[in-house]
This record gives sequence, C-alpha cells and structure tokens, in this order.
Amino acid sequence: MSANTAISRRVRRPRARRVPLAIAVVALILVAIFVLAAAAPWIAPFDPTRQTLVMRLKPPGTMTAAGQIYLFGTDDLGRDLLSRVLFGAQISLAVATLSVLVSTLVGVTLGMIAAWSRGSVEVIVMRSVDIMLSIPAVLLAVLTVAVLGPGFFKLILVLGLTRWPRYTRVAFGQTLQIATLPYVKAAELAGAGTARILFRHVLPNIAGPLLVVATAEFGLMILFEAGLSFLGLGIQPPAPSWGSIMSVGRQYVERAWWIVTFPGGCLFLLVLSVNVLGDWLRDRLDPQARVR
Amino acid sequence: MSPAPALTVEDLTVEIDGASVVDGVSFAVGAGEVVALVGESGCGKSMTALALLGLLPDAAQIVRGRIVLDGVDLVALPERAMQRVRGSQLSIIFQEATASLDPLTTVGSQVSEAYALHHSVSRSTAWGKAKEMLTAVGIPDPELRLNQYPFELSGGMCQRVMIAMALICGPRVLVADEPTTALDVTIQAQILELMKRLVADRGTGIVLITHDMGVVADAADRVAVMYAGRIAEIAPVDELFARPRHAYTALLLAAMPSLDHEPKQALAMIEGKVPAAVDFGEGCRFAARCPIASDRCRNQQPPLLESGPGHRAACWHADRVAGLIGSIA
Amino acid sequence: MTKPDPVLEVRDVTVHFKMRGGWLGEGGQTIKAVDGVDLAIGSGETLGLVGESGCGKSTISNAIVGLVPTTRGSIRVRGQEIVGASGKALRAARRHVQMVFQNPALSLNPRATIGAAIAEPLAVRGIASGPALREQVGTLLTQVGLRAEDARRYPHQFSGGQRQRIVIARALALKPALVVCDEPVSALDVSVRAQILNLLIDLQRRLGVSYLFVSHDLSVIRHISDQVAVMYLGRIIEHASRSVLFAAPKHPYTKALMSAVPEANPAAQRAKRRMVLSGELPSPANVPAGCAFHTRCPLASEICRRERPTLTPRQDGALVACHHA
Repeated sequence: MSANTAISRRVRRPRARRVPLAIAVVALILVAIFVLAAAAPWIAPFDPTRQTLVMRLKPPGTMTAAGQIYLFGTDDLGRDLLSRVLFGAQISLAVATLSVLVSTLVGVTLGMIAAWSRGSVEVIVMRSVDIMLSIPAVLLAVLTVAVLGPGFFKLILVLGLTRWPRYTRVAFGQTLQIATLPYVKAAELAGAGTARILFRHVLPNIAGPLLVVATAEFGLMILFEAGLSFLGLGIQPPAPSWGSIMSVGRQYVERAWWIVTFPGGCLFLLVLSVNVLGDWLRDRLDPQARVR
Repeated sequence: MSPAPALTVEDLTVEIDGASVVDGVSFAVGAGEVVALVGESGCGKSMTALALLGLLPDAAQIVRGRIVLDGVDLVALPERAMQRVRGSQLSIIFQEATASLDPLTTVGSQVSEAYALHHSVSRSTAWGKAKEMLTAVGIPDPELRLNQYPFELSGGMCQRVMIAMALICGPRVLVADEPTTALDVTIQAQILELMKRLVADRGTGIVLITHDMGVVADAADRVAVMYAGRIAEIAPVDELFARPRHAYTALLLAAMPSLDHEPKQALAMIEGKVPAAVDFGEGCRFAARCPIASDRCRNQQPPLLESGPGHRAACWHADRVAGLIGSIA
Repeated sequence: MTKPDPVLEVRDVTVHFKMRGGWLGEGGQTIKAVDGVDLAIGSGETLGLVGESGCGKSTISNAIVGLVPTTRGSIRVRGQEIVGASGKALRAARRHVQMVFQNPALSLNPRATIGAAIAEPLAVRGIASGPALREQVGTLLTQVGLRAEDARRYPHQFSGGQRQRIVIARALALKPALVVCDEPVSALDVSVRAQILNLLIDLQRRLGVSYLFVSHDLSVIRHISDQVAVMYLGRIIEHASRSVLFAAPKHPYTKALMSAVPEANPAAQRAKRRMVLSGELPSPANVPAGCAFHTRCPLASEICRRERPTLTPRQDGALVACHHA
C-alpha cells in the first residue's frame, strides 16, 4: 500500500485536464497547416507550376499587372512561391502520413507477432531489426531510392520500409509485457485465437507508446522527405516539395533569400510543432496510463 | 508505559488539495513499546508514517498538529535539522525491502553509510558497526553479505538489512510501514520475532503500520485503528481484541478467517467501500457502512471517548458494539 | 486418491523451465518448478493448495489450464487430456476449466467493457450472440451480485472487490466443471476478502462447481477447502482432508506453516509454542538433494539428505512425504 496509491485514489477530480498554453498554440499551428494544405487547390492564388519567366525572382509583395500579389515572391522560373509552398505542404504531409502508416502497419504487426510467437519467429524478426537499425538511416534511405528510383509512391515505400524497425522494437517490448497480464491469459482460456487476442487485447493497450513513436517519426519523415527531395532523390520537379524548392533556392540565396526562407520556415514550424506535441503526449501517456 | 513517551503525535492533520487524508491523529509511543496503526488501504496510515519522517510528497501538507520526539517538535524543524534526525533518532522501513535498497551499491556500503552519515568515524569503524548490526539482525555469514549486492539476497534478508540500517544509530523510534506484507508467512514470523527481540533489547519504540490483524495480535502492545484518515479506536491490544468499542474494529476482527473460525460459514461482511476524501461529510465517516449508525452519527462526528482503561473509541454507540460481535461471530 | 468420476486428475506432473541465455536463445539453467505432483478433485469439491513462494502452486495451476507447458505427466479435466494438447483439443478441454486470477486490476482488459469481457468466452465459441448473449451476460452479472446494466461500464469504474466478481462471472460463463482460483483474495482488503470468499462458497453450493484454490494463506484455505495439499519446492509434502490436516498436521513444514499463522487472540498468540524455521527458502533452480525440506528441517537426518521421501498414507488417511513423521 504505497502512499502514492493513497493520493491518486483521493484526488482524482481536482487533477483536471489542463492543457498548457504552449500545447494549445502548437496544436493550433498544426491544425492550421493541415487545413491550409488540404485547401491548397482552392486558396492558392496561382497555379504552382505556371512559369512566368518575366516575373522570375521577384521579392515578396510584388504585384502583377492584374493586381494580384505574390505574397511570398517568385522563384527562379517565375512561379508563385506561396502557391508552391501550399502545395508543397500537401506533399510533405501526405508523404509523412502515408509512410508512417506503412511503417506502423508493418512494424507493429511484426513486433506483436514476434513477441507472441517467441522462438524462431522472434529471432528472425528481432535480429533483422538489429541489423536494420545498425545501418545509418539516411544512408539506408538513399540506397533504397537508388535501387527503387525516385517518385511520390516509391518515396513512401522507401520511408515506410526503412523505418518499421523502430515500431517493431516498441511493439515487441510492449507486447511482451502485456502478454503476461492475466486478462490476455483469460482471453486465451476463453478460446480466442491469436489474431483476436493481438488486435483486441494487445493492440489497444500498447497504442500509447506507439503513438508517441509515430508522432516522433512523423516529424522525422517530413525532414527526410525534404532532405531526399533536396538531394534530388525524392519528389521530382516540377512537383513542389519544400525540399526541392529549397534545393533550387540554395543557388539564389543572396539574390532571392525568400526562396529558401519561406519553405524552410514552414518546415521548421511544422517539425517543431510535431515534436512539442509528441513530447507532451509522451509525458501525458507515460505516468498516467500505467496500469502495471 | 514509561514516564515520558519517546514519540508523541498530537492532532496531526495532513491535507492534499484541501482534503484531509490524515485528520486529527494523536497517539504516543513509549520506549520499547510497539504501537500498531491498523486499517485498510486509503485509511491514511501510510501518509501518517511519511508525515512522521517529513517525507510527504509535494502535494501533501501538514496543516496542523505536532510530532514531538524527545521534546522537539519535528513539524517545526527545518529540513536540514530534520535530516540529522532521520536515520539517527527516527527511522523508517518500508514494505518492499528489495526496492528500498540501492541495487548498484553493496550491502556493506549502504549499512555503513547509515552509520557514517551521523557519526564522524573512519570507514573501517563504520564497516565494523555494519557487520555487528548484520549479526544482530540474524544474518548468517555477515562478512560475505557485506560484500554482496541486494539482488543476491532474498526478500527476507533484504528486510533484515533494512532493519539493520534503520537501527544502526540506535533511534528512539522505528516506523515500520507494512514490513512483512510482501514476505512469505514463515519469513514473516521470523521478521516479527526479530523486531520484538530488538525492541526488547534496545528499548526502541516501534510504530507498526499494517492492514493485518494477525500481525497486530502477534507484535503490538497498543493498537490504533484508522478509518478514512481518523483514529476510530485506540486501546491496549488485549483490550481491543476482547472488547472492541467501534463497529469498524468489530467487523475487521470478524471478517478475518482464522484458524479457529468455523469453516465454510459465511464470514462477516462490511458492505460498501472507503469514501473518497472529497465525500467526507460532517458526521462519522464510517456511518454509511455501519450497521448500528443513527442520525446522530451521520450528522455529528464523535470524538474519541473513554470507554475503558487506556481505551478510547470514536463512536456514539460504543456500548452496542459488543452486541454486534455476538451476531456476527 | 482415486475418486469416482473426477473432475480433475493430475498424475505425476513435472514442469521444468529452462532459462534463456545467449544471443540466439540457447543455454541457461533448469528450474524445477513442479516435480512429480499427483492430485484429484471430485465434483462440487474444493482442493486447497497451499505453500509459499517458489513452491510451484501457481505453476501447477497454470499447467492445469494449459497456460504453461507440462514437461511430463498427465492432466485430465473431465477425462480430456491437457498435456500435449494443442489447438482444437486444448480449446475443447478449456471448456471445462477456467481460471480466476490474483490481481483484479490486471484481470480485465482496460479498453473493453466488462460486458464484452464476460461475453468473450461465449462469443468466441459461437455459443450465443446478439440479444441472447446480452441476456446471458446479464444473468452472469446478477449471479455474482452485480447489476445487468453494469455490462456497459469499464473496469476502472469498479472497485477491486467488484472487479474480482466480474472475473468470477467470466470464469463461470462456460459453466466449467472446475475453476482454478489462483490467490483470488490475496490482493483484496480484509473486509472485501470476506465478500468474495462468501460468494465463491455460495456459487459452489448453487452450481456444483469444483475449485482448485491456491493460496499462501492458511486461514483462507481452511475456510474454503474440503481437501488440502501442502507444497514445498515443487513437491506435495502432505495431503489430507481439511479436518485431519488442521487437527493433526504431520509434516514438519506443515507444522511450521501453521505455527506461523498468527492467532486472532493476542494472549493465545503469545502463549503459542512457536516453531520458527531457520534459514532461507532455497531457490527452485537449486532444489536440495533428497528431501527438499532437509536444509531447514529440525528433524533432518542422514537419510533425509540422500533419499527423497514419497507420499505414504497414515492411519487417519493423511498422505505425508517424510522419513520422520
């Protein structure tokens, strides 16, 4: 009977869910980015791929003859930077979300099965995880792209298939713990099959730590996509990825600082928000949700 | 028992977020006396233990009361002074002995440290004292054990090491928070024997915190029964078992299946559960579950009233409790 | 120890665990958790299994429901063999035996309603579905003293004692012949303990279910058992009817165990002649040769160190494994 059980039993109600201001702000930023990205086709003032060579490298605030304004300026081919950044947001978020989905599906399933079956399945899966995790992440991604080739869906595949080990490790450890709990044994005794046990009894209870991993990975995938596109290995032009915009902008940094700065700033804001939210989630889920 | 008690607790009240988890608790421990604080989970006994040593969590505050150890009020002491008291004049041992020892240092370092913190002596002197204490607590082959790590010792042995650390500076009072709950019954018997022997030899008072009436029957001289943060009844142990004067005490005693109970007969039950601190009302906190509660009980909290030599109970109907036992035993 | 139409028959069961070691999982010590155990339980009967940590009582109870693989021996529940059974055979056998676990906080999926938890055994085997299933769940809930409406709620909304009732309801869903109770009241407060024990006894009277009741607490065992078996380091060292065991314990370990249970009467407790054992409990990885108890036994002699005693019957029907008792 620890003193701490005595406290938590008594004071459940006063400890209400107070979200710190910083988290509320960050969440708002994330929602805004998602909404703007989704609404890009409607709110982008210009066509992101339309080149107007006469208007190339114009600074932010430049007006067109028709009275439209280039809020972020134009790039080296006269395309509106704001529109490109908006559509670029779509790409970044889509790549990150889909690749996280792929890794989660593959990684969590492998982890759960390895922990449940133990024996040779565990050995094969976990040693593969060890091997993959000992190869530097960027190198692995670059090599895989070199083999598979660049492109939107190939990129998602690359990221999805190189990042799954992190989920597997967490899913494995968590499943091992949960598998020893009486309610899982009770399900076994009731006659439930492996699939039912894993998806009904284990998965919902390991979702917390997995969510934390997924949030961290999300931020990382955004950076990876930007990095690979920057190197020319990810999204190919003329598709507007923040990474590829920045890659081009690199050459014009002295003449047209806005080409690097705006996508870079958005990237920074997005990843920062995801990381802050992820940290907070981890703190919230960790001590509170501990049933054991 | 003895002229001036070693430890006197007066009207101790601890609050968390405005709710009192320990409310007006008073008792005294004489030299060589074992006072048991017994109650179920959530009754505030562990909080009381932590309050005695100034180890309350940040959220909890002592809002009233005095804890007087040898004439000094510990509540008023600043932290630095309290550190000098802890371990040397007032010690504590906890339930999970294996978790209470540092897994990364040897048993010898930890026990000798307990001594060295309060006496300026050489390392070898402290080590020698540690070896002496390990022998005193009945650990065979102390030389070997001094150099081992806690994971190499069993649960019972770790508890003995904890007792050694707690008693090495010869404190006036030892607070033992559920010291045997995590141990097997045969080991529990060994540890209780040990504690009683040490108390007799050294004149240390013990505040024994437990939920097990059997442990109380075995080791205690006086008993305070706690419920929902308050003391419901306090009496010498024989008196309490023979003539309980609070309905909660009577029901606790009857609910224990023991070796002389009629088997398979329905055990006495106490319906309901301990109220949460936010639900405390003006009246007796046990009224909702009490079979002999009246309106007076629900509206007016009974104070601890004398009902025998050294025997006090917080019940308006203490005289009717005896009748309860007949109907439930 | 033969019974007519036994619900459970355990014959010469041994459970050894090999500890894992190495990068690929090879190597390690052997833990002899259960070492040659025989048990039998008749219909509507309760066998109490008592012992301290490391004695193997939890292992054998897990082996009986097939959660732990048995190394050697036979376990039959209503005639169906558990040892070596897998897949369909095991599932079929588990219809007759269910389990109640020690810690109510961990015995229910926190993310599922208690109705879903209780319904699971029935739903998974296609025994009932839809409204019929809900009705059965409701009946099971009222049987254990809760309300049918509670099915919609989640485990954290219930107290420890209530959760244990839910676990009992789930165990009874398939109407098993035997329920293995592994320390079901140890984690509960004293006042709640009585409620749960009373419930179990009542259910046995009404439904005729048998119990294998595992506990380290002799007073609880005495309250609920018809037969009692005492275990030490994987072996049964004494087995007798409840009245015989408590009136006349013969094995020195049984005597020590009883002596260690405090009397509820302080005067009697002080007057009691205490038998306090010396030494520590050996680990099941290093079971002493000969009689496993000889390292702590006041009666130990040369033969105890060499030869393992077998369970031999005494005049009053008790079975004792001791060279000197």
